[in-house]
Amino acid sequence: MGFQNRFSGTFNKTMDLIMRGAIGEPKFFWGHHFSPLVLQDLEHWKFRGGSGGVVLEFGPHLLDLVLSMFGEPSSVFGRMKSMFSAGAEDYAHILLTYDSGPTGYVDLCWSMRNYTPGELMVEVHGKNGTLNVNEERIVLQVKDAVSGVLDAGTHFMHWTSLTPSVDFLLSGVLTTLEDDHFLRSVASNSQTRSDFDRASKVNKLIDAIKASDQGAL
Amino acid sequence: MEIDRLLLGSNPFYGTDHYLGERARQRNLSMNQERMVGVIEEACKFGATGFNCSTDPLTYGLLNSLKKSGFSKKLGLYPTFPNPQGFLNEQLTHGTIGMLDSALRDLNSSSKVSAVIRGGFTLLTLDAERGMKLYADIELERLRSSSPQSSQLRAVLLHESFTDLGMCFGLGPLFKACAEHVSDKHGVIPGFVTRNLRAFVAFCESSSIPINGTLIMTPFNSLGYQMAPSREASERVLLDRADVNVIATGLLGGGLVSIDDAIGYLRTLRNTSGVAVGVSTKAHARETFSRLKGELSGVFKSS
Repeated sequence: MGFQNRFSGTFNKTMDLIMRGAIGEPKFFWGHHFSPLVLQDLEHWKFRGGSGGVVLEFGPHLLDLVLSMFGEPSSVFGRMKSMFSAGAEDYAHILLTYDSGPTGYVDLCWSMRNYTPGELMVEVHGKNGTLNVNEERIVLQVKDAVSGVLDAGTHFMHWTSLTPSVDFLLSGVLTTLEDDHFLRSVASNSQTRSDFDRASKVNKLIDAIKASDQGAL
Repeated sequence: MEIDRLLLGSNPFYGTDHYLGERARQRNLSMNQERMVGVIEEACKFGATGFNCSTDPLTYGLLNSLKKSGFSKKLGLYPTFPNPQGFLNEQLTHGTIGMLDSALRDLNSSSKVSAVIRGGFTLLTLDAERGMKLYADIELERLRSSSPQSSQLRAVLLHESFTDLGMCFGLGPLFKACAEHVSDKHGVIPGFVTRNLRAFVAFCESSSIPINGTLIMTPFNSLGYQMAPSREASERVLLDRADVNVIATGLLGGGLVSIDDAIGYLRTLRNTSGVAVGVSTKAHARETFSRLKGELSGVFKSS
């Protein structure tokens, strides 16, 4: 699984802003990962029960970001629904609660007919402001200035100013940055940003979502 | 080499926006074929003489509509192929054989027989060169049969996903063979879209692909966006190589760069042969192309 959004300028800046208290203590969040990819029953293992489905195939990107922002939730409630795919879910609604953190939900759906291009988005509401982030920009509303971080008011940050350039651009910037990081880590024998432990946390969350949905049956 | 100076780009028609996806989503809600035809007509009215498009059913339908509307202006066609998203969708939906069947479906009988025979060899031998040539032949026939009579196929460009990946895999001989096929059989300029201009020029030299007979479409903008490894490196190529034929894309940075700044930036570049700009409304087409036509005379190198 390639977690290329770990190299996203906007999502990394978001985590930095949240950590530094730009919006104060996060209280509530919501997010989605939408795409118009599946609008009929597709003959591919990615869209079959047991091997695919939106939570396993599509969801890890957003779930990984939520884990990075807020940590592992204390409880998970998930509902999944098939719209086109035989035996696999095309939509999932997931409620996440934290004993000493925010509460929030995320929606995953790859059957959003008019959602071209797709989008991965998170919005976080804190005591001092609101932050809305996707792959391309951050829109941040800060109530009271946070010293050394941001002035009060509305801020717009575009990914072109937050993402480093690459030596050779192959497909998207994020996948290139990810591949480059991996190769450099191998060459220098150092730990990669994406490791098994982090990936296993995503898998654990996916298991919890599916167990929750199964428990409702 | 006859190259149009001002090309209309088609990213807005496909819902592609490299800078702000939510803007593309809003635009897509009202984008339809009638609107696209209007944008093409307006862009041509105010200075565009070329059209850079993809090779897919949406494009063929659009060109057919343009033909039916009685479009009679000269329009150079610069199709980019293959269409990666189209490949993916067809393969996911119908599998590999279904994808090939879809590609053959719209050909006339004699072409179909020829394609199937050649395609059979491709499937049997997994011959990439035959496959690419066959694919080019199929898509170019579709394009020609859909296009207005006043249009003329000027160049065929390989999509950047394939160009840049092909460089990594050292596919110089394959690219050279396909470029020669496009030039010899179809009588058009072979071209490549890339986001790595410096690396691509070096790749052509090492692969004996003649730079002066090749069209390169690559981003140039004041933000340095999609210009790897850097804006300065790409600009250096233009300074050092009078033999490159470059169509600059991404000039407006998806709206992040004003038309004033974009024109100002383009005027600082040497050795560009033209520019491709995508617009989504008639008003934007009118404003953009009238400015480009009026303010870029003398900027482009002579053919």
